[in-house]
Amino acid sequence: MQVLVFLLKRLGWMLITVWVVFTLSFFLMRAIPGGPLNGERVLSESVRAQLEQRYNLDDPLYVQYTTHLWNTMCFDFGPSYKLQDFTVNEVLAQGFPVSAALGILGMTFALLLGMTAGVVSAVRRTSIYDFSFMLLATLGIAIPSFVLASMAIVLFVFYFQIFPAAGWGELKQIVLPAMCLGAPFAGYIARLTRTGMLEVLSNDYIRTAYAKGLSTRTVILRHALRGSILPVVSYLGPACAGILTGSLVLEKIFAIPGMGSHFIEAALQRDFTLGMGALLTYTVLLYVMNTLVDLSYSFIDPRVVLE
Amino acid sequence: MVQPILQVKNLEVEFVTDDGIVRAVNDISFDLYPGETLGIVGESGSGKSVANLTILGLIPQPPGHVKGGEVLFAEQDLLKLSQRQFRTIRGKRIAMIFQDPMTALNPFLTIQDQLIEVSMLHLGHTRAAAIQHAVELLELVGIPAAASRITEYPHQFSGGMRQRVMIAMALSCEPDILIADEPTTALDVTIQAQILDLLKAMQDKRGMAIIFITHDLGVVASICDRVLVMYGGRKVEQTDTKTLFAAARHPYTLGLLHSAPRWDQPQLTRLQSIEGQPPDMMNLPAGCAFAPRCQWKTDECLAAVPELVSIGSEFSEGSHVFACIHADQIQQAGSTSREELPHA
Ligand SMILES: Nc1ncnc2c1ncn2[C@@H]1O[C@H](COP(=O)(O)OP(=O)(O)O)[C@@H](O)[C@H]1O
Ligand SMILES: [Mg+2]
Repeated sequence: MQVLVFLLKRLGWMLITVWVVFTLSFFLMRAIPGGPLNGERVLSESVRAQLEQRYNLDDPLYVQYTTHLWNTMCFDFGPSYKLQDFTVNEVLAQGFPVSAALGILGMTFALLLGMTAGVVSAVRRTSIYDFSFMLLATLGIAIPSFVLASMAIVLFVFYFQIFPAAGWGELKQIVLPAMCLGAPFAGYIARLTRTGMLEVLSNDYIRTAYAKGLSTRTVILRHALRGSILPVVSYLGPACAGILTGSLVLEKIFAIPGMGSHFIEAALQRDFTLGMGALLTYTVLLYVMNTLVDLSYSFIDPRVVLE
Repeated sequence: MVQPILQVKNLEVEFVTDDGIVRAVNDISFDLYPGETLGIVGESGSGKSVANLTILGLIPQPPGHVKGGEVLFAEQDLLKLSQRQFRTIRGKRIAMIFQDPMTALNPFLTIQDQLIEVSMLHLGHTRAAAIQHAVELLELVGIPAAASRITEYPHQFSGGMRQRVMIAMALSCEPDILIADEPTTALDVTIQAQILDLLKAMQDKRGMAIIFITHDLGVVASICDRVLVMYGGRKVEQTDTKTLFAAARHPYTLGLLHSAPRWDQPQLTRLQSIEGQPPDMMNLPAGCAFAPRCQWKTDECLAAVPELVSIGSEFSEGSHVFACIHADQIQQAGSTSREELPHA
């Protein structure tokens, strides 16, 4: 019941947020110089007029705004300006699952590796494991993903020849980009887990758990882990945004047909409808992620009340 | 002659920190007899917790380090046990409860989860049997509607109720020894009395021995059979409770007695605090650690740590142990001060 009220409230806020994002970007896109028809090719007057009519660009701005808003509310983002013959919905339906798969894989990799490294580092503090993991984590955070990607390609594609250089479709092709995408997040998560775990381990209730005769394993897994992943959970919201922007770059390097390339090209070529579609999809995605984070926070920590 | 159930012999514990070596426990020895309550009294920082955590092998190592001594229990030296062997003792034969029930329970787990794991581990209970057992324990320690409240989380309980849960948890496997580290310090006075009554009742029922750590002599008077007074990580006096109150022979004990309100003395008695600071555990003086705060100190006190002297107790068959070369003077002062209220 409490959860339902919380979700409804969040849904309401999400709709408002989406509308604000829509309005701001609608006018910002049109405020910057250049439009979708200012390409390299100079168009004749009649062609331009025809095109403008097709995309409603000849209507007054407020009419364009209301039509576009109405269509968007009906989940219809309209035709893409640049990718002719495709609607934005089609482009998104094709690119989004690819990006999502890449992001989910990257994040799963980051969580598995980061949390394991973090827990081990905390439990074996100041050991060689701790030292090496934290060094790796720092490197993972510090090295930009395009550098990491280039190094990975040189190493695993050309030298060891384990993975193909680029493309999409096979599992083999996903591994490298997902790991490059996840690496900085793995580093960050490792650090967060380590800090969180060390803090939890200094709590009185850990001593209580040991005083009961529980083994170190049980104490860590049953008593300490829950508290120590809270910082990681709250990091997942921003991390999701980071994964999205991170994948823009990596999709380019590894020639992956995800949302990233469409998004960049839409912005460069003033493809208003495609840009708007991608932007709103990201907005909703981030909102959903943050809501999930808050929700899981309250599931993990019984003292947290949803509001 | 009853055999002691636990013997601590010449225990030495230190912490190696960046700033230096903290000598937290210095040459502590005591015996614990079945069914008795031994009080351990001393100011905060005097090594009470460290000494008792060491008995259960619970001091963090590093920085902690047991330099010497023995802890004899069930015909073995606990300090020589492997962690695996130790786990069969902790929570089963020797249990411990802590000062702050607000932080000693895991806030992420239900009371049930925290209670059942003890009996499932040590008594081989199934989950269902363990839950049954846990509900009975909660009823025993006086938690109303135990069967329904057991699935709640610690933050839904008051401080006193949480300490009752801790006690239930500690009693789960009917331990031979219960170590209670300031279990009432964090509680309101009325709740304190309830918890003390509960501990006494549990001891009557189960017959376990209790080590009761406190800095409150009022609590000592109401629950302890014998008392060990610690100062600067050392034992400075030990005797039965009656003798301690009637004929203390260490100036620190006397100071403690004067600084605690007494129901058996006129209201006019002014409470006196002990002047000065507790010793720096990193640089303990060569002589008596209490000397800098002691009004009876002589050059002799500064020369060497006073030996523990043992005499028969005046008020019971037990013995009276103290580490002060001016003990006779101090006992005299103790008895006169009760009549004449000097310094008032
Ligand atoms: N983990 C630790 N690291 C360093 N010093 C410690 C640690 N635990 C306790 N000590 C020191 O040991 C001494 C005794 O502490 P403790 O036994 O907790 O005193 P109390 O009598 O109040 O229970 C204190 O000086 C304290 O600073
Ligand atoms: Mg203490």
